[in-house]
Amino acid sequence: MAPSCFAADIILVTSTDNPISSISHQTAQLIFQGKKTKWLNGEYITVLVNNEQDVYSAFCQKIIKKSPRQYLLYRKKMLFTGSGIPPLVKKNDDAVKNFLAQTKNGISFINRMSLDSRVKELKIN
Amino acid sequence: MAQSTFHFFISPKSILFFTSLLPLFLPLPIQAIELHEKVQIHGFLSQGYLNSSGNNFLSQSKGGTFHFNEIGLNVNSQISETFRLGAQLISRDLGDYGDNTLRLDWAIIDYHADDTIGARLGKIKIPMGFYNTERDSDFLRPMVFLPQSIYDETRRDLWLAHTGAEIYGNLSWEQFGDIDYRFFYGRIDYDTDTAYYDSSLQNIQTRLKTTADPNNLRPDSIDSFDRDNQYFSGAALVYTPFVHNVKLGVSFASGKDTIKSNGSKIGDFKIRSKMVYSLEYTWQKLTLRSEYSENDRTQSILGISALDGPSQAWYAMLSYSQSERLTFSLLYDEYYRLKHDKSGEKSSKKSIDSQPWRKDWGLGCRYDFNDNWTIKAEYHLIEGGAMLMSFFNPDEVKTHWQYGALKVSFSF
Repeated sequence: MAPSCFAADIILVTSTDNPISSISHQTAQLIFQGKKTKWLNGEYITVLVNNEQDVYSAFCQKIIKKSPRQYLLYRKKMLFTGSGIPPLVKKNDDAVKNFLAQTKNGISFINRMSLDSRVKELKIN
Repeated sequence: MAQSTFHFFISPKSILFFTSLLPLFLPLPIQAIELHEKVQIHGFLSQGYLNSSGNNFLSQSKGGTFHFNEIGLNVNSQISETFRLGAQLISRDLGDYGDNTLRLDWAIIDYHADDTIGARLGKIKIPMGFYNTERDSDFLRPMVFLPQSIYDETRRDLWLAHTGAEIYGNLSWEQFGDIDYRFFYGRIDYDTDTAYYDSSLQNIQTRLKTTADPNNLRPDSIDSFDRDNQYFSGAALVYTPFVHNVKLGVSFASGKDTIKSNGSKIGDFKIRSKMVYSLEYTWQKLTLRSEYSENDRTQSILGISALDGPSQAWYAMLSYSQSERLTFSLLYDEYYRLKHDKSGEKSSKKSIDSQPWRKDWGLGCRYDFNDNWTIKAEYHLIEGGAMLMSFFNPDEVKTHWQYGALKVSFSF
């Protein structure tokens, strides 16, 4: 699905305590598909999906390369076939930032406009 | 069984289960119920309507039937960073079978040692083709029925899940993509509340009456039989290239059953090899799904070879997503009971269910009201009567027939 010209400018974010500051696009895809569960330092990743509609939609198109519904069905398939537990879901940027502020190994995505000191940007290289 | 009646809320054993789900009918995102960050409860419910003309399909469908539903509830708990427990209960009804009896769909202990290797123990869904593991979850697919040539609904219980173990993992390479693999070994516990069981019993009884027994070793009558699975093993590989929205897969299985009646062996069934080759490709609003399969098997009943050789099945389905909510699908699906005897001429003498092939054109529409509610409708124009059509239509199987299905699903 082609990105909308009004799509939110999203960024990946993690805890300010996380020593990792960049990941590859493919690594990001694998993390949000539940196929990569550890950071390079061996610690387990806690994945959060931000359910704020325009942010979620832009994330699916930019990072996952699926439509929002395709990614939803991907997560549901993981759940209902017994192959895994899908990521936790938070309702908006603020809930994501609050959670990541207390979760060193977390990763999620927010609108770039709402980046603040509770989280740090995880650059895609 | 009365036709066109709601059986949905009649069964007392279902009432408690349904009632427990009622508070969950509010629109909810996928996180639904998180008792704790590490425990999640989810579920689904679907109700369908099936109607056919020419032949009955999976039920007494010629007058239309609402005996077509599934209800599932699952619990997952990430008890530590490496261990996960999960289970799903299911209750379903399709025609005369299922009757909304509560069953264990799958239940696993998952040890995820590393992304490259993990192991699961328990009752595990069988990964044959891309879509076998999602058979019970109507809302995961674009059409009501999966393509029947490969996902034959009458043999659903034969291929659904095994009790055993599997090794799984994901191997990934930057720019090249990643490969998911699964290797499994276990045994299948066959359900007797299925059309396949009743049809097989009918076939055994017919053989008993119509074939000679020169050594006088057979029982006079057979009222029931046990199908004991000796083993079931296989593997599945799925390759996903980075970025290109394509997925390629191959899956393999083999297994062996012994058929017994009153403790005595009366037959064998062996899958020498079942292969499924799978492709899924998405380009903008179009998704192409196609699979090809051969199932090389042999069956002997009462000392007579009933089946020997590979079947052949393939389909192509093209889906067009008009929007995020609305998807149209066009399907062509083809099945031959014996690849090397497509017309059934050579095998008709030794086979009781001698319908040799089936070809299916299907047109479907799916509409997602939101993340939880989905409605689907489809129409199929079919030629041929393979896959137990003679069981559902004992008087006559019409070569040209049609069916339609409508289904509403809720998942959270």
